[in-house]
Amino acid sequence: MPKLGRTEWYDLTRDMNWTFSYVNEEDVFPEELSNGFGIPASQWWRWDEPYKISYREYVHNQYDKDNEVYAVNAAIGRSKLFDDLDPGWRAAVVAHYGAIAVPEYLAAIGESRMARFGRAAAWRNMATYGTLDETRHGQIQTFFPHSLLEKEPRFDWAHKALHTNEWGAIAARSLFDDMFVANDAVTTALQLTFTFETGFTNLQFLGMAADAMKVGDVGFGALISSIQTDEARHAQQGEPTLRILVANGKKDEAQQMIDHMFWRSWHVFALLTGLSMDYYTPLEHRSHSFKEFMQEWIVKQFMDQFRDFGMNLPWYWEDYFLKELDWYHHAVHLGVWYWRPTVWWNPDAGVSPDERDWLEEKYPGWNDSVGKWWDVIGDNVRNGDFALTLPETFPMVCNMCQIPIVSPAGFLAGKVASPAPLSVTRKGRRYNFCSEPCRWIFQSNPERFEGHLTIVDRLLAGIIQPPTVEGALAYMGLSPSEMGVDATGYAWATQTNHHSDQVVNL
Amino acid sequence: MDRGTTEADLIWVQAAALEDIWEGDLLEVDLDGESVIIVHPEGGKIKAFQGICPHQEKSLADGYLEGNLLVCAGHRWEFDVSSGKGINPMGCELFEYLVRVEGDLLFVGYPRKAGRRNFRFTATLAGE
Ligand SMILES: [Fe+2]
Ligand SMILES: [Fe+2]
Ligand SMILES: [Zn+2]
Repeated sequence: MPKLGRTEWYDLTRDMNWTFSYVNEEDVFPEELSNGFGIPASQWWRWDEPYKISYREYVHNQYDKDNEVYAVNAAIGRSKLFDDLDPGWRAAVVAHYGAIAVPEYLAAIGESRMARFGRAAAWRNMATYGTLDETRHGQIQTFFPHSLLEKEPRFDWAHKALHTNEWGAIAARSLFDDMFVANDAVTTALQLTFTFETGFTNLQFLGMAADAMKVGDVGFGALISSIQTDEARHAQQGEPTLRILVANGKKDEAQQMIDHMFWRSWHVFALLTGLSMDYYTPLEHRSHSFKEFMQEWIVKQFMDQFRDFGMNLPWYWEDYFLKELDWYHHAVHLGVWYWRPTVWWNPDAGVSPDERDWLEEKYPGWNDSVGKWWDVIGDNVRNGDFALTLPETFPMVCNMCQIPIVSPAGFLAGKVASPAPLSVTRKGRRYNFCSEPCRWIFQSNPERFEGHLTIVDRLLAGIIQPPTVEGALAYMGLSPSEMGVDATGYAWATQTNHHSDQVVNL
Repeated sequence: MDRGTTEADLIWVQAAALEDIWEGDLLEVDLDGESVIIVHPEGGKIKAFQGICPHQEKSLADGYLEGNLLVCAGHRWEFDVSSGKGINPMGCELFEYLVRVEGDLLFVGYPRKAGRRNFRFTATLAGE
């Protein structure tokens, strides 16, 4: 048979669109599952993805990719590579698997909803690949940590985390439920694929892959860069969907969806990627600071994208987002380290004298803001007062991002106007927020969020018994051997500065 | 797309020694702050294109060259280096620089006029 060029068969085999004659369009695409914003079907049929692939090619490519990463994984299982990895880096990897592996399966639910309720055949075709992709990501990111269980028992949190009420897991679930588990197909395309996968997963999966290779964690690096090649293909669903919304007068609606999810993604990635890049990755292997990665991979990427699509920057861009790049994840890191028994990995304080020099260089003013708290913690550690470095009470938690409210640190750094939390009272209940954008997201759609309880709300409501730190740790699914401890056994507190007497190896 | 075809419009920069660009090779160079990729396909002519993929901020030099096919390592976008045109996606294109060989050296020329030398490519709608 003669081989036809792609253009000669692709659209024909892909575009199974037809006009319904014996059912209503609303019955085929109910609004809760696929909000079409009143745009006519013929307009949706103009949906076209840039990068094209047939099912046959897809299977061929995926087979090759899986062969590659499973071969690397098998080789690493036989080696001592993992034993030699830096304890901070291990924390980054253990945190990653817990936060990401099961949400990949959840993403498969979002993709399969688009595969059924996407409003054009081309879109449903791309989402079918997306469903298979996310299933693959769930599988490999539970299988790989499983093969390392002997070396690090907490790798079972790859599967366990999202099934617990650990606070980070609640934050991840809250974000992912909002973004794709409980979202309609059209909004999912903008929020999951355009906003989250194009920028933020690229940062975690390609940015962290670069660090992984430097650290010598070949297995993790190969795995996550392989995943990102799938992400980029199915992330394409956002662009044509956004084009259609804009071309049909729905720019404001699209802007709202993007502004909403960009902010939520930013907060969870500041927690996950921010801590990993600026505190957990060993100093000598850091290629860029988290802020530099953000500027290059997120700020620039989104500014280009917003321009290409005629969208505006989110309203909070200058006043809140860019300012938080300087301080937010530092404050979150301090909180996570202090409440370390409440996480499933071993937070690396990452504040030895050399590391503090690096932080001060990358974030001028670091020493005079969060650094002051670390001064006190360091003194307590050196005096043997470890109890003073551990929590006795609970923080306030944001009713949107589910992350402890750290605005006092932002105030101290001169980046926010007031240290007090923001609040909203609704139907007799008070909701607290870490930031104006978190409050704005809530107020834009209160019915969607008002029923949710943060970990601290649950404590106050009597759901967590006994209402103590111990009771809360049990509620979060953390047994004593699973609770986080300082990754290096407080080595950072007694190290001296190497700058004066040692040449930095290049 | 004005690539500036007359001498007066171009600024020539020494980009590499010929011995550094073997057949089948790619090389990334910095051209006055702009990333440029030099490609030398097997049995073909040396060419120079924008160094960043039109898709996302990823250096094309991390990819591979097979005949005239250039594949980006980031997300496997494919280009034909004989024309600079996208194979997958179709419709996109790499900005092409002029090249000139003098002795053992390769020079790359870029337009004096400021303008975008990094094309980007995003979705278009059918019928557009
Ligand atoms: Fe994924
Ligand atoms: Fe994905
Ligand atoms: Zn918040």
